[in-house]
Amino acid sequence: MKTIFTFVIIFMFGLSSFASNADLFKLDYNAVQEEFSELNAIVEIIKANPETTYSSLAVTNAGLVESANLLPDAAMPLANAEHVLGIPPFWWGCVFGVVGVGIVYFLTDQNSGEAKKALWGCAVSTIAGGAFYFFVFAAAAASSGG
Amino acid sequence: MIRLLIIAITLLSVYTGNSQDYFRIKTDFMIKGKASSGEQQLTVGKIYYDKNIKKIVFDISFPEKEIWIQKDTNLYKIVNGLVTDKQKTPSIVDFTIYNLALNGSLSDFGLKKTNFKIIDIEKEGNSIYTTWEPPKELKELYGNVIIQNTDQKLTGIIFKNKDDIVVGRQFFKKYINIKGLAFPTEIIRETTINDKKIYEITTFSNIVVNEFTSDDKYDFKIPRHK
Repeated sequence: MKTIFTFVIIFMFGLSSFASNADLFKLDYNAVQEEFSELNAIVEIIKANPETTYSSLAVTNAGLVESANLLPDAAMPLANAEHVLGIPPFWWGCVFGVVGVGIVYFLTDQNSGEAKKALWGCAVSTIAGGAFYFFVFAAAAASSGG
Repeated sequence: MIRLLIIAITLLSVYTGNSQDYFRIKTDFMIKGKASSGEQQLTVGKIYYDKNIKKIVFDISFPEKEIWIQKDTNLYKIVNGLVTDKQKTPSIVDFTIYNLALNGSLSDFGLKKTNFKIIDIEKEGNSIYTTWEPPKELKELYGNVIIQNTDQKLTGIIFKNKDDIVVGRQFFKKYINIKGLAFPTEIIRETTINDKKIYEITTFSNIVVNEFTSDDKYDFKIPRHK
């Protein structure tokens, strides 16, 4: 019985270990959209009145801003007292993408505030097109004489 | 007659050349972000990029009206016509989605021009999955990158760490064709922190390619510091 159980475990482990590349790209699109359902109410207000700013919204729809837990700033925290390796967390996120967030997270003794700033750096890299991550690769490629 | 023929051929070659030479892109954008703590962020505005000028101009309208300009190794924040902040950055313009798209390098995310090497190509369904291995100098930090192409368009990227664990995914969806240039109108980024998945969605709309007007927007003059 024990042997059969061991074989079953090994078999199941084998199945999970050999997930195809296509499996890695599976995404629950509707669930992702659902994450932002609260924010969509604000999006509708902005679409109806493109002049809307956070300041004006906080006056006219304070309850909505509060319930959505909406941050007032665009993703650009420029002044940081403590930097990892002398680089502000914002840019770790921006340049290194998700890997940068991880580096900030671990090197700052899991200081969630720093990691959060790096995360917003990721948001800006999204603004800039999502390819910041590869600056590092390109720079390394160039320096290696490739 | 010969002269007319030469003129006609010249005009035709110029026209054909222009149809494939993309140099400018303008788009409205909206980014929704949500942190694991529940805090949300919404950024709305327009982006202007000219690959010959190499400035990315973010004309942001929400949360507040401000302009960000990425130029060389600087990111400027401009409010009410004054530079209120300036940050040193790596020179990243060449590696943005706008530059990659205009230069026809988006399908491989620009990897072809780096020292990453293809180690595996797999076809499943309508998609092709290409696994890129980092150069040895980077193997201590990064793992493989897998790119998903569907109908020759970039539709997804997976970043792995050196232990072969997926650390991030990006999905490029809802492509539209503007003057022959394919551009995604939705990008979903998934980040995993503390075993929690965090999502950001960027949407693009009103995309214009090769606009001949609004030079001042594409080459926005950076004012003096406050």
